[in-house]
Amino acid sequence: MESTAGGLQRKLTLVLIIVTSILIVALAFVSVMMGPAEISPGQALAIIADSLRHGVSTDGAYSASQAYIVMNLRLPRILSALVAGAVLAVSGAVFQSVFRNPMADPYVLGISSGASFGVALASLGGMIPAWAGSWGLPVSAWLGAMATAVLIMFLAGGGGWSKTSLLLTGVAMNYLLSAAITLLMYLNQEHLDRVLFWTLGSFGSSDWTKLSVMAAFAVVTCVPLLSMHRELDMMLLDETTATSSGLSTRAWRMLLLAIATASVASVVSFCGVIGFIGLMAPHLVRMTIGPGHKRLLPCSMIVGAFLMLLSDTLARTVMGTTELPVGVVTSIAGAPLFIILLRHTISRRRR
Amino acid sequence: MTHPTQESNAVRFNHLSGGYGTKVLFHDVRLDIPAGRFTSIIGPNGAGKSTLLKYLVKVLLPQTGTVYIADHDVSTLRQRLLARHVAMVAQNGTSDYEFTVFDSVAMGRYAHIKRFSSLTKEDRDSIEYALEATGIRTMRDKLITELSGGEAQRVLLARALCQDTDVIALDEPINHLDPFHQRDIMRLLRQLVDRNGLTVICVLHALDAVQVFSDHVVLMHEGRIVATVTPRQVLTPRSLKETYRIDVHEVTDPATGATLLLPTW
Repeated sequence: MESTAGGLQRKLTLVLIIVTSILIVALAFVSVMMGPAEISPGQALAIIADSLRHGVSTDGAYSASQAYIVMNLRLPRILSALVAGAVLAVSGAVFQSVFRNPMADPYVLGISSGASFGVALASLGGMIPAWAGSWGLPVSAWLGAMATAVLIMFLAGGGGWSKTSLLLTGVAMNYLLSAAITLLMYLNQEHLDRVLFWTLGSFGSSDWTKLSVMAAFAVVTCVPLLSMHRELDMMLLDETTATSSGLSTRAWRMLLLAIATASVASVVSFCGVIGFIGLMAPHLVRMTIGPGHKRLLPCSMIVGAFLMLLSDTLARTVMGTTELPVGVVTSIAGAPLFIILLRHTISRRRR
Repeated sequence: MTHPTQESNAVRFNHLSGGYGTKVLFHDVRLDIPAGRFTSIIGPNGAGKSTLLKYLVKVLLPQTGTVYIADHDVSTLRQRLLARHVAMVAQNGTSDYEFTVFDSVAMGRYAHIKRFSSLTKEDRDSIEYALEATGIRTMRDKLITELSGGEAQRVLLARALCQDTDVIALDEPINHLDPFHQRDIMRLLRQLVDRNGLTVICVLHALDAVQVFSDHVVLMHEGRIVATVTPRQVLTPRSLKETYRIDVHEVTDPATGATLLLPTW
């Protein structure tokens, strides 16, 4: 038999999916038990099983407050982290392919900051009408993110989409938006913690309502993106080859970025800005199973979900009762990877 | 290489003008490319050869004038539909992403595949044919990043082939290849014309290959078509002196007896 890189990619895909899924279930179980209130594995299982049957505990294995903590605090939080991780990973993968740049990521390019600025501005400025309900935040985040994305396209497109001009534009956007957000904080000191929440990222306020809106957004954005795996593959070709093969590259680039931006914005509006998951997850997957999006996107979702749950579990347990912002944990892990990718890209260009 | 008296045209450039931004590169270019023939486009750097091909596949739109392919106006065809008429092997078309040869070639089927459906039997047959015709069937599971220059060029050609078009345009397909692989690719293209009736439009710099392999030659200079007929009629010491600013001398190939023009170094 000939050595088959393709066969290896297919086998590794299966291994990756199975192993990560097992890890997610195990980690979710550990995460349910961990926290200030002690809950044993048996209690956790009993609480979840009873809730699924809509039953009330009869044998007194756990207290009502323990049931409340599991069902209304920890479980929605765990699920939110999983959904957010999956969405950020997919959108990161899409950004990297559309820009043909392994370092492109909504966080690095300032699009997450744009979303958080949009949501902070709209909610502090009282611009969200009451009828918008739970949808007001994601929509204002989407507007902020979209405006940022359009600006980046406009500014970096002029530089011929080069890797450096794109990243530098992102840096500039981040500077600009962080100044704008600081200004908002300065003007609204009584709501400082709310603005901080959006800039640092946290799953601390997760509940079932927010989770369901976020999950709805995730389905609406991620399902189309998963179906566009062929277009994304062809985004990795040079423009002449992709176009002459039948892809209207300009139109698809816009569409893919719009959907990916919308998905990021919905996550930011509920959990704030959490960086580097969109960089780490696709990168790990690409190294293992190759660049083909039919497998890359779903695998990135699973890996992103796992990384986010791991980060959030660490964030709320590693310092005892003090909770760290989850964005701090993901940045500590992700920033070094960004530097490695940067060095790799620079050395490649010198060759 | 016989020429029937009545030839149909695969591609027609009609009164084409255009360029990049305000810089006008083409002025009223008129050019017919016969179907089922090997047409080479030659000319010095900057003559507009690659740009002409970009108009054909609608990567660029001309300012005025029309490009016709199989009697369709290219500007009114949707990109997917156009891709069923003409395929292109671009310059620097290799990707540095680790796709397998099979997956890379299969991208040529994009214009034929419906959304939400996987490769049909027709798609697979087409891919297998392209892999076979370009001699890379045994490499299907290799990563394209691990291929040599000649192999990578075959993958690009296979991708264009499985697009299942009547016309294939190639932009300098044998640049960066050693003499063996240059000959290899040129013979393959010639075969596709002779056996499958494909129309090949090929931007080339190697004048010897142009003389040996092509039926028609289009000589371009500063956005104009200088001459277009058979290699013998187009390639003359005078035309090459005027366009390329090189001197050539005639030699007789001892193997075939054909007269060839060799540049004087």
